[in-house]
Amino acid sequence: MSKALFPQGSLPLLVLKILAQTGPHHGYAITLRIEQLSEEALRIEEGSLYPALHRLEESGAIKAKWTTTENNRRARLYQITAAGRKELAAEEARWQAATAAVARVLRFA
Amino acid sequence: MSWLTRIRNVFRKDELDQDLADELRFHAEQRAAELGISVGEAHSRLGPVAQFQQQSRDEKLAPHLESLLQDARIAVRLWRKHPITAAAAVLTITLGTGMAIAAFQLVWNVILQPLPYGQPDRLAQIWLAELGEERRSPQNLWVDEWRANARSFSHLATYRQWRVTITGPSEPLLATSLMVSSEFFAALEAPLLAGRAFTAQETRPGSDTVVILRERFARQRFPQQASALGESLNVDGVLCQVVGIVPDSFAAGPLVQLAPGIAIHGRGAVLEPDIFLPISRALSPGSKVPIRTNYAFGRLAPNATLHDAASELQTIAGAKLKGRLWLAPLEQEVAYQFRPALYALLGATVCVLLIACANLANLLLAQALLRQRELAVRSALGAGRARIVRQLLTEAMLVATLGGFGGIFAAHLLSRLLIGLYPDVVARMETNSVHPAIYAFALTVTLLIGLLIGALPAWRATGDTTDAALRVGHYSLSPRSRHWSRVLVALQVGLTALLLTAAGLLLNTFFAVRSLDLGLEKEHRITTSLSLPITRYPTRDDRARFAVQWLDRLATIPGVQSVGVSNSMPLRFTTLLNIILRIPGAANEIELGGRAVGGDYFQALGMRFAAGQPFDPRRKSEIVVNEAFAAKYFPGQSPVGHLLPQGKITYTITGVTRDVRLLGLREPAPPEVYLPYATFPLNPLDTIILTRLPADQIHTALRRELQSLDPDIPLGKLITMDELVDNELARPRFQAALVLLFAAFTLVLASLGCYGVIAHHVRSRVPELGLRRALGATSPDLLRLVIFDGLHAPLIGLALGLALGVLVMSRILGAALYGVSPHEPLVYFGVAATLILTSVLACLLPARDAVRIEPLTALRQD
Repeated sequence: MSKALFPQGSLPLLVLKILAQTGPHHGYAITLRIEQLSEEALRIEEGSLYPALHRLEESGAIKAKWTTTENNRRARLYQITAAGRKELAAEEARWQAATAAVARVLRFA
Repeated sequence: MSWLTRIRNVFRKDELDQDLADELRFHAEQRAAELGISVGEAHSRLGPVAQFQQQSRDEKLAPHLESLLQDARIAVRLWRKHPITAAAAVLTITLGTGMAIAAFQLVWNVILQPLPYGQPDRLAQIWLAELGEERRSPQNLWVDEWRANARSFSHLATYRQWRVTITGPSEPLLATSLMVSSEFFAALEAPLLAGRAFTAQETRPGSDTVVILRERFARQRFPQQASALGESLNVDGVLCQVVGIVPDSFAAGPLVQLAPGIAIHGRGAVLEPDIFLPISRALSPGSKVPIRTNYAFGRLAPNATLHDAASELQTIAGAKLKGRLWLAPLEQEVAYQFRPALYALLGATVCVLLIACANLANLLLAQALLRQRELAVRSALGAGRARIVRQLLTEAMLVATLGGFGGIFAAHLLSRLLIGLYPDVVARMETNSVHPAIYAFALTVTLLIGLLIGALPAWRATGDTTDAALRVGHYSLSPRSRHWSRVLVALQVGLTALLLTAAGLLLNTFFAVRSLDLGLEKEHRITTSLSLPITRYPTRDDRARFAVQWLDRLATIPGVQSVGVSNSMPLRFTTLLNIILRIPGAANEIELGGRAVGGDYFQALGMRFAAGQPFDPRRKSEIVVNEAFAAKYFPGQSPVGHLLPQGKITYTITGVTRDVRLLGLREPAPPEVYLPYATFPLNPLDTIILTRLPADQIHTALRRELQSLDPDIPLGKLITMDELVDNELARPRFQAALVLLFAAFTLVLASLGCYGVIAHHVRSRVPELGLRRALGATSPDLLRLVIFDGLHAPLIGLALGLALGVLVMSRILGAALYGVSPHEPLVYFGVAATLILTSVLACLLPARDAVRIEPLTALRQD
């Protein structure tokens, strides 16, 4: 079975949701979490996560800092900001309204 | 991220790229560890990394800036490889833009800058001209009627200049005041700083003992008081109450310059008056004699047009008004006498700038063609034509920008030079501030230069097919590129020919004006001026008596050879007496200018007599006329001894003087009469002293004598006749010097351009010339070949430039020329000789290189 690609525009929403629930994460951990939560149903082109993260950082929804892991590697940790939480709530509501509407249409069509 | 961060990120792009690479590697390593695959394989699961890198960059950088910087870096590298070319280019642009900006600043400050009044486009000056006469102001009685009846004006105001003597607590002071009517400030919509304007009642003779002062003058004169309002000031012996203060920023200059006929205070005349008096002070109480020396302007009522307003005024004045009446928008009147010179200046700078651009375009073209192979390689590697054009334009823009910055500084220095050369023109630049418009101009010019000098090379260098460029072994010029650089050289030489011609004609004008016979001597003559207050010297006899005492005292100063007085000194005070004479045998009375002169006036000025002799100063019935008078009214005979009966008095003509050029040096003298001082002892009392004493010594002596004669009369500024004449020469000298400066600059530019092109041609023809040499061409053969080839374009340019000069010079310079025909062949020959000589010189250097070419090395190239 081919895995579903991400619906357009949903990647930033998922990233925010994950960061809101779990605290600071690096990029790879976020990838794992998405795979795990969607039961590997959603596949992302792994690299494409990073431009998305930078875009969120740019808009101020998340912030990033460089840390050193236990085995002395540079890793970049991303953390949601207050503005990010507000945006998440708004985006979540919008997403649900949109999917509910699409679901209704599908049901009655 | 703010745009500031984005711009900063452009400069740490490598660091950001490294960050992303680190993140991705970390990701791949983790993945590899988890899945037990190699890091390389995990890395390939990431997807198109380069694309992500670009996306990430787009988030973090200012993208256009980035590619611009890349171009700029290449440009900097290029120019650093050719430092001399780069320096020459920047210097050329610096000088070119410097001149253009300085000229624009002058034109802006003197002409273009909006007048400092409310809605200046509704203000209009009223002029009247009878057939064949100069325009003049309308007489005051009509203005009164217009003010009462005209509906097309919301305000009508009059003004004139007037010299006044301020006496009082401190040193007496001779000042130039502006007499204004009650509506003057309202018409200009120029608010006062404090107090009020004159009321209508206060501008009637008898009740006009009020004065308005300029802020700084009020502070100076009344340093103790918080406000000068309500204080009293003694003006011409009358105590006047200060009723208003105008701010220092109030500028009357635009109006004052239209009202000539006041004392010149030497070079750099100050036009801004400090003292404002009611206009009625110029009238004797109860006088019904019309005055024609009050200047009138008005503010048009809403919806009124200039044309309608003029016809309304004409209708109101009725048939009494002969001649033509018209309204001139005040905005167009500003600096009207300097406009042609200033526009010529701006035109010349644009010419220079175009030449400079042509030169640089050529330089860059040559450079781009030398790099043709590099460009072809870049293009073969996938750089589009647009990308390469942008690169070449950036290179041009880089030098243009550097030159533009230099130009702003150069303009600063140059505008000082301009003011120094010609202070009168720049009277309005007293507050020589730099307006944003000037920076906007500088920016526009700089960008245009960049485009101009970059576009041609970009077009020509990228136009050639890449294949050909890649294949050619040595650098070469395609015939079309050669054609273009020749066109540019011809253009430069043509423009230079035009400027040199203009400079030559103006220089001739200057010499012609300087060597004019003025009709008087200017060495060792010192002039000054007094003004007798009418309150203490009310009658003619009082004033005549003072003049006699003054002359007697001056004559006793040791070292003074001769001294004279007049109510109107040549070049110093140009208001003449209006004399009406009846010539026996003539149908009508004649009206002409006259001077009342006393003491040894003729001798002190060094005037010469064509016939007869000076009159006896004690007789009131003897007069002297000038040659122009004799020629006009006594053609073919000597007027000496003729009697002119004028009612009660009969004048006898005792002598004919040679004409004195009084109204500016160029104008021929009009008919004039000289009358004994006692007949018209009017203010001012201009004094001329012939002495070899140094100026400070004579100044001390004059002050001492005046002090003992009447301590309340201020001594006017001492100006030597030399200075007055020099002042009159300022304009032609300024024009000649300026255009000469420009012409010299363009000559240098044109010869550099010529040299550059020919040198380049020789370089690109090395193999061919080597072959010729190998086949037996001698050095003179090669020399001739290169020089004739090089002279081709300059000669065509020269011919076109001279032809254009013959066609347009009289139109451009007509009014500025004197004593020289706009088609003076000597000037044209001189220009041709100069340019041919320069072009030959410019060709000689490359030709010498061509002669030195070793046939073997030349042929071995490639």
